Amino acid sequence: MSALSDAISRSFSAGEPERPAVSPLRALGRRRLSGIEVLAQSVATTAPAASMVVLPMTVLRYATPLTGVLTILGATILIFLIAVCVTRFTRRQAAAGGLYSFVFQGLGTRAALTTGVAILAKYVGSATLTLYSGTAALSAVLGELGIDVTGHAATVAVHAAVAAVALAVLVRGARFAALALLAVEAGSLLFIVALTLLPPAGPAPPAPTGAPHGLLYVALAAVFALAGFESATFFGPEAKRPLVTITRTVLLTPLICGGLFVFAAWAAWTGRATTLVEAYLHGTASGASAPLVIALNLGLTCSWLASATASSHAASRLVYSMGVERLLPPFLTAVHRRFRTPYAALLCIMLLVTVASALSTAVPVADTLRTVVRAMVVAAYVLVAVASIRFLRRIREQTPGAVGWALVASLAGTALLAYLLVARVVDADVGAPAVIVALLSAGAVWHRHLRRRRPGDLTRVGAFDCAESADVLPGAGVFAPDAHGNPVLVAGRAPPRRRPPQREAPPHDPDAA
Amino acid sequence: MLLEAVAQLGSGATARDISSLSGIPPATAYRLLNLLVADGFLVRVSDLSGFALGRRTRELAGEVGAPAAEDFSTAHAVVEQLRARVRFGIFVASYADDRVRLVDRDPDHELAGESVIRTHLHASAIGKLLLSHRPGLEPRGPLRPLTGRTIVEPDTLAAELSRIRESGIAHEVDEIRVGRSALAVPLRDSRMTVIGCIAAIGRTGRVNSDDEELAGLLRTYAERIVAEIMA
Repeated sequence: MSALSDAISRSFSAGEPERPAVSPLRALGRRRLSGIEVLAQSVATTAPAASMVVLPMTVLRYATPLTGVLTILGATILIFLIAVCVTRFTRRQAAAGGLYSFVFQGLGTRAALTTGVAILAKYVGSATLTLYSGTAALSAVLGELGIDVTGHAATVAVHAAVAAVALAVLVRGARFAALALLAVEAGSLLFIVALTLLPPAGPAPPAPTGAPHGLLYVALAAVFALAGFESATFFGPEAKRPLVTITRTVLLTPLICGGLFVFAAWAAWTGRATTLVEAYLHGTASGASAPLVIALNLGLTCSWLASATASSHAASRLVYSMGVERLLPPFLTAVHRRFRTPYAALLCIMLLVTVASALSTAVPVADTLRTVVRAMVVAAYVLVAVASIRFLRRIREQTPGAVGWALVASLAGTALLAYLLVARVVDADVGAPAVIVALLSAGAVWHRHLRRRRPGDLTRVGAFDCAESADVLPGAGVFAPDAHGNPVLVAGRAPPRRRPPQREAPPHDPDAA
Repeated sequence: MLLEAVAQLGSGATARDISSLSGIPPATAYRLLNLLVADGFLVRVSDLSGFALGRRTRELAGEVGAPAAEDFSTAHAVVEQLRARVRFGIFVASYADDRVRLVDRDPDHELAGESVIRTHLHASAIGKLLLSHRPGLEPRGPLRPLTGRTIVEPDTLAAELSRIRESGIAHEVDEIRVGRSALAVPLRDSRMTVIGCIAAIGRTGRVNSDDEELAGLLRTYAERIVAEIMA
């Protein structure tokens, strides 16, 4: 009899454990999202339709067409390499904390907290920016239709209405939200692609202004446009066959969106995007017809608002995960009984994003915020690339290819980040670099604070959808209590890393004799 | 081969050890191991560095273990006739060895969370039917709620099981998954022992617990299936 059939026949006589091991994330609706719904979440976060209008604008402003296309291609390749690094984790675990939980597995708690802060800043920041742009485009649509919403009170009302709809969709359930996002994004994408395919008309593309570090801004804009491909990773515990569907999404999203952006850059090159960009920048004053301007703004509104919703959705899972780990107040772990969504975390994120967006209509901070968010994205990607190397080493599954590509990606990302910081300082803008450095060191400060005040909580970091008793063949796994007494599946022979130190017999003391 | 290696090495076997024991090149072994984890045949231990056998390996028991008591495949044609008549997923389960084993899956209706039926008998029509005819199997310890409508009170479950024994039909409405309902009727051999069941599974609202016509149809086909098996 083979060892396998022996283990199987033994399993029928093995009793169930008295206290079964359960996943810390089981309160969320497990195993519900299908592959297409997970893909919808990721694609919606990247807002390809809106980026297809904004990216050509950046290309036209800062670079010559050829370098623009090449830069976008390069950024797509870089992001794809990062995506490959992310799949090292998504093939092996499903975590509601996304990159934050992944970095923990490779680089430990301090780097995880740094990533957590960066990712939270990224998602809240880009949700704010897209909500801001989305409500501005919505106001433009309403303005064209003769409804004036330019006053302060009106702006606040539009924000509140948009946020209420988004919140209702998200609380209703992850599946419902994903399908709604997919419908909205697909509609606006089709529309923008159709417009770009129109034959070139109108004025020739304006010559680039030759602003300093133009290529840097094109590259950053492209990276930022592709960022968010990883937002599916936050939904691992809620997806069906997560190790397969999330991995597929993480690899597909940069390819789909990168392809669309290269297409958009080509459109800018051949002058096809000029009509679109002019209509976006100057409305009907550019000579575009009113229906076109309204339709364009409607498409952009949908894309941006879908992105704001998807970003808030992802951020809520990160906050929920940190709540489960007790890093953030435990009330954030409240889950709706029927819809199985973390409504408290969703409400907090949505409130934060809405207030920030409404405030930024009064205070012009959008440029600084954009720079900060882009730097946070790059920093988080570098961390996850480095973490993937360390992680594979730790579990002894590294292959030369995996390590090599991760190294290339992390070096390229570091170079980009350093160039951005230097360029901003050279341009006599110290505000953004100061915020970036502060945010990047916030994780380490937080780690220090926790280690002094609540060292026990640091051992909870890295919660993921671990194997439950019900997943393991009875009698084939060894369960041991973790640092908090909850049973977890451990290696049978070697003691696991996170087991509490066992009391050993005191060493022989010659003086005691 | 990989599963055999994990079984030999025991809980916590690392990918590298599995690769060298099974003789499969590392890169290939790592990819295959990840697929086996994704499908639940293996699980990773809590620090992700090693593997243990997953519960789904039991599905291989038919190939390596003792043969099943009854051969349900002879009734496949009858089951297909029923499938042609209804829009719901029709599934046949065997209760051999006092556990649920799906022996005829509806090819047109994917059944998500099949393992949950086996592991949480109190939450499905198929599982409750088994529990109602095997008093010794009743779960000890707390009943896990899978949805808001899962029966978790032991007294309520006992009442439900006795109702199933009396009526000879088990219902399930949103109990194992929100939006899924099912009806199951027993398959009884010549000594009236329940050897399995036939279940209609579909969306809540389409499959109704008081659908007498469907229940009658299932009973008729249950008799025909048993006749085929026993023939």
